[in-house]
Amino acid sequence: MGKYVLKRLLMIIPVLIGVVVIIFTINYFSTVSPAVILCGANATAEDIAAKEAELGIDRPYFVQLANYFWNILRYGTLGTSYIYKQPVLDMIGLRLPITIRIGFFAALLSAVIGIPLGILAAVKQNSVFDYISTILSIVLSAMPAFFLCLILMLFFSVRLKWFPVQGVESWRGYILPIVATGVMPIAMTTRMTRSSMLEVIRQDYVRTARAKGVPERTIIWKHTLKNALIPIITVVGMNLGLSMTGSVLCETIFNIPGLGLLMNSSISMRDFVTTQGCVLVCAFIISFMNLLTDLCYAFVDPRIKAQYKTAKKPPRDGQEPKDGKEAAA
Amino acid sequence: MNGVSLSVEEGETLGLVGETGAGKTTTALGVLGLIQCPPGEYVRGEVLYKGKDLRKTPEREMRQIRGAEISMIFQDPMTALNPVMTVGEQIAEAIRLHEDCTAAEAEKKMIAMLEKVRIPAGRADDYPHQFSGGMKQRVVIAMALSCNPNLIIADEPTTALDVTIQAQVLDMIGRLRKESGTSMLLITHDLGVVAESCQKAAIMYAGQIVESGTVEDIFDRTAHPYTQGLFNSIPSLDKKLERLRPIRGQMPDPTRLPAGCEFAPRCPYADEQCVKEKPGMVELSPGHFCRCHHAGKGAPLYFPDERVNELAYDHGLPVSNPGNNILGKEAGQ
Repeated sequence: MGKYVLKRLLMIIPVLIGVVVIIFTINYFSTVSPAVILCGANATAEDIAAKEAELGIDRPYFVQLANYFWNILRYGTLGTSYIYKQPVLDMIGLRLPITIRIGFFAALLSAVIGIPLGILAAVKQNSVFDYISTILSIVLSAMPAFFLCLILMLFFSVRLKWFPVQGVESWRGYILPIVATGVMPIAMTTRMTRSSMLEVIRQDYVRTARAKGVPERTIIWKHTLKNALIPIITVVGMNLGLSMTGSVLCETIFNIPGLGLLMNSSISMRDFVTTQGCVLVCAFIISFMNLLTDLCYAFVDPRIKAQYKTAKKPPRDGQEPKDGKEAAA
Repeated sequence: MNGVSLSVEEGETLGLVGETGAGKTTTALGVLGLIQCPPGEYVRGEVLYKGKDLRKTPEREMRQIRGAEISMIFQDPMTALNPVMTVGEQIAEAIRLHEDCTAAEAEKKMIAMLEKVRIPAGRADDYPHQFSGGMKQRVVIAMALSCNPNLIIADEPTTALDVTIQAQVLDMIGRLRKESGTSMLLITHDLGVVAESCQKAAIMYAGQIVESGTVEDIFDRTAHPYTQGLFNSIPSLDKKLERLRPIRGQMPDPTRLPAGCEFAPRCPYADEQCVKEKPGMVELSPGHFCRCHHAGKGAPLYFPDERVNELAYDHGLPVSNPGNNILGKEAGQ
């Protein structure tokens, strides 16, 4: 298992390199140079050239790219923001905890609400509850995030004044962003749980359990749920990765100083080195969450666990049964 | 399902035979009340177990009966075991549910059950995917027998298995059944299996029992054309046949059954009456029932293959009944 984890961690490295190269290339060929924005409207061509030289963005493509990697490996930095003149890593370090807090609780919310709702909808298939939850989850997952954010803000912040309109100075500020980020994952988790449960509940081994006289409650929780968990874990893990890398829209609307907002502002300001750092961190978080998800599979399904093992464990008492003649005797 | 009436006495084995889709499994699940409703529906009828109608038994009590008094061995061992529970857990679960015992006692009994089906105790912590098909079926058998049920319903226990494993599994079921004096309803489409391990047999066609009686009734005094058809589809060791004579055609769609006898469209003896009128159950001899207009009237319906009968005649043998091949008896005895 340890070997597998190590292998998977090492496999994240080429992914990150790929992400950096792609983002860097896109930025390099961007039509607007960051120097133009930094120097303002009245700048002369010499000002801009001087600025470009200062930022080091006048150098050839490969030199810049190599320099970026060299900085990471040699100094462990992601460069310095063109605009704020601060190390990108420090800026991300300041904002990431806020985004992770929101993302984690949103994903938690999706699991805590979505899974039971999905189970209930599957157990009471074709009931009124099932229909309502199906319709609701389709409507909610089809609803654009910015619209939901605005509705929540209008109703709960502006009209009811329960929560602040913007910022995360107190815990109250977190509530609406968490709900807004969590709604779509809740809907997705509910639907995935329902369909996965329905699929498993029709399996022969569930019938076997019924024929053994297992009570319905145990059938649902012990025999069905554990088998239905794989797709559910996939969705929850995906949601966790996605929401922890920050929702640009949600953070912009609620004005939350998180990773999403940083990424958004850095793109519009052509602060490419910051954008690059943000994307790199996001890619790492998502890769890491995928790894966690895959490890969770092994926890749930012994067949997947067996695949992760590099060496087969020897049978306990060393005597493999001879399937053929011995049994017939 | 319509007009199904079966009875299994204590310690007895009843074979339920029929083509795929005849309703054998549905009958079995119906006994245990395990048919999914909807789309399934129990219209009427009763399932009597020790004089008690299981159809009217509340679900809570049914759970005590399932697994403990009536248990089931399923057709496909590959899918009948829960892939995420160890086989030990799955067997012990049945014991814990029905017997008043501690976890340690259940564990002990589970190990004993495993050993009874010749699986070493050390494999109890393994998962179903680590077992071969034959071993999985033995686990299913251990699970079904773990609470010493009074009735086992074995639903084609060997169909999904390799031919070489089939005999072992059947032997094992038979041996364990005899040891505990359990009754059994053996569902199969293999008449050879019925001859070997059953005392009584019932032939099912399109959701109905068309012939039932003792194994001797069915094999020696075959009355229903469908039963004969089944026998004709089996190759024989001692008769030379150029080709088998399968029953032509397909079973009717259960939602659009013919107006007359269900078997009439495929029956070589069908006449006008058969097409128009549904036959009732006729008792040919005590305990031997047949659902056919022609049954018991005049000459018995013998093997329709003229050539084989001619051969038998040439050798000075009485015209034979095909069932005898399977019972291993001399023709005409």
